[in-house]
Amino acid sequence: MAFRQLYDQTSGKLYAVSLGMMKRRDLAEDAVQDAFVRIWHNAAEYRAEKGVVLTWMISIVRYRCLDLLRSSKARREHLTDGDLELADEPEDHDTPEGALNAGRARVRIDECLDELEDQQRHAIQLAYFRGMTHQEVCGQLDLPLGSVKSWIRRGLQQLKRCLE
Amino acid sequence: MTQQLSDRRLDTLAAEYVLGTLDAETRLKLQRLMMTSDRVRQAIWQWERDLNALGASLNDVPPSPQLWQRIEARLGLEDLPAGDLGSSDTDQFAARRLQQAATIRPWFWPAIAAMLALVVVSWSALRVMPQAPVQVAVIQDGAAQALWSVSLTDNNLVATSTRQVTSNPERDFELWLVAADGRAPVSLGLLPEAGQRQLTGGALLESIDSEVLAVSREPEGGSPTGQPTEVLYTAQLVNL
Repeated sequence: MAFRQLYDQTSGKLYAVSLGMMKRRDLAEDAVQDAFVRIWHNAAEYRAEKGVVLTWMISIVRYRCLDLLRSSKARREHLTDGDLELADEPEDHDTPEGALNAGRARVRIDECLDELEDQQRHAIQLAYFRGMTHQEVCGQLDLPLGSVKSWIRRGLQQLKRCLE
Repeated sequence: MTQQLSDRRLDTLAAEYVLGTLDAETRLKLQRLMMTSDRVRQAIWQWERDLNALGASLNDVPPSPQLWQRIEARLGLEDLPAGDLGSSDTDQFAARRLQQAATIRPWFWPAIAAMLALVVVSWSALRVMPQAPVQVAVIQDGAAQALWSVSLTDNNLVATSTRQVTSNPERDFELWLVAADGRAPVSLGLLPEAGQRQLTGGALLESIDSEVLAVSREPEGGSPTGQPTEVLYTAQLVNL
């Protein structure tokens, strides 16, 4: 049936997005499960513009991950033992961005990201791929909170100009 | 409030909404604005398309085989026959899914039972009409409680609410026709929150090959975009 085919074609992508954010396989699968249930019920929300089905589905799974990450319960679990399962996976510590970009292909938006300052780009990627808050990004990059906020904001504005 | 937002400010808010870095309060405000402002929705959708190209660029990671089984169980799909119901083209998925929903959902048969019960209950209401209904649908919530019955007789489309429908001045429920030909959903009007209401679109329903209706939640007055904002339920029109 159509829904199974849709699942087969897209679950690997949705799970990759979710795993990057949730870190734990069980939490990542929970988010993908919730996303597919929502996709099933809300299929009519989808606007039939060719080629955007996948990005629409990724939106749904990302919002679900963000909800889970921002809820205090998930946050506690995430912070206490969240990184255990992925701890043995290779991380490129010399270039922190390497870990974020190792498992993916370059796309058009990357050309625009390349035009940003290194830390600006890194901050946006941490927020996107890891679902980090401003505070978490500033902890990760060892930068003041105000700088992170305005860097992300200005980075997004610059990205917009480039994409247009 | 949206008028007060400059394009640039709105665009930055939309970007941070999609990125996930807004604080909870601003996030909620923007979600509320999305319900009523096409401008806000368009800004957010644009960023969803742009930023989620990043997610789409990730290499696939297969989830465990049990995940599909869990989704299947949650949706009650396990007992469905495997067949050529579907299309492999994901872009056609949404339209096809709505067409199939009523026939493959497990609550279909309970819905038929509830429909027959409602026909009896609302007999006194229906008998004032010149003919018996030729087509009827019952719209149910997730807990299989009947919310509305919809009947179509000679181009005359009438919706009757049950006591399960709660009235709320800040939102309306809108009925949509999902045509079999893949066109965008067509509004059939706002559903009553109490009593009975004659809806427009009866003639349209008679002329179009469709058996599926959808109900969406909308801001007061109905969909601001001409398309369903949030689809809550679907139901099938059944010939009596």
